[in-house]
Amino acid sequence: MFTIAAAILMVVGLYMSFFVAPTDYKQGEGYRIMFIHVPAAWMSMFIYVVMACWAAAGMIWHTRLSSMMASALAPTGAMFTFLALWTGALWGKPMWGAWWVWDARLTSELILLFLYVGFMALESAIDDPRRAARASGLLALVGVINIPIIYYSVQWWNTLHQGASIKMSDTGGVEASMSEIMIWTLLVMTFACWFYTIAVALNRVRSIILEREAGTTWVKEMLQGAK
Amino acid sequence: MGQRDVAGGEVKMSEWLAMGGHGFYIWGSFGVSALFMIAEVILVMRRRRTLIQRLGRMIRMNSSDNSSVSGVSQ
Repeated sequence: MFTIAAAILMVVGLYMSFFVAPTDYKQGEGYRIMFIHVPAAWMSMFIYVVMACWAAAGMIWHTRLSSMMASALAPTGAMFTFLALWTGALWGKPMWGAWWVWDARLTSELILLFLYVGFMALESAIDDPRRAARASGLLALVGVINIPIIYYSVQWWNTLHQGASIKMSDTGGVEASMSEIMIWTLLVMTFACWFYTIAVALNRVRSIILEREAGTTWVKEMLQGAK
Repeated sequence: MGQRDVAGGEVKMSEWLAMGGHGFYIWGSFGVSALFMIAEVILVMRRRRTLIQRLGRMIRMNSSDNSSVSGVSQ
């Protein structure tokens, strides 16, 4: 169901990205990269927070499923982080004249990628699943400090990166640096990525559960029933 | 396929693909993103399929020689 929702939203979002949203008066057609770059960057941060919450829950209550959810989310989060950096580079080249600059926003996003990779590497390096979950969970929790750094980096430091696309204004309303149709396109694309993430992570966690529970009676019965 | 421009005329396909000179960057972004997302879906589905096949084989093996259930190491 999430897969279907993701596919429909993605088609609508892409149509809006290329045929509905107007050309930007300042950046020309190049700004259309935003419609994949911003959702990818949002997802990279959001998935990390959700992953860290699952990891924390697993560490506090020793619920195995929580840790499994955390490890199911990590690869997708890493993918979105990479895509945010990749599309950022392809956007930076025509707009700033550089693929990469060592600025606060870009560097902290790169650190996020390393955190994801470190989380996955640490988890797979330890054989005992419970110890692996505890070690990688701790890394995930410590890494959460990076999320506000990424988010506020454009305000705290001088940076080439443009400010937030959408933010809450002081009066409580939503302030956006673009037209309404661009915001809608951005939101559709973001929801598409959302549903995509849910679908992929749930599918992956089902495999992880099966791997961990292999040898138990219910797995046997399920597989024999499936034949 | 083509997009109507402001005057209502048909914009050429190649012109649309060029994206005002930013074609390389735009298609490079969306193309690679699509590639990664499709690849991830395929990998996740394949992982599940091979896992179920492997576990099914183990269960058949165990039930044929009547031995006790053994765990699966990864």
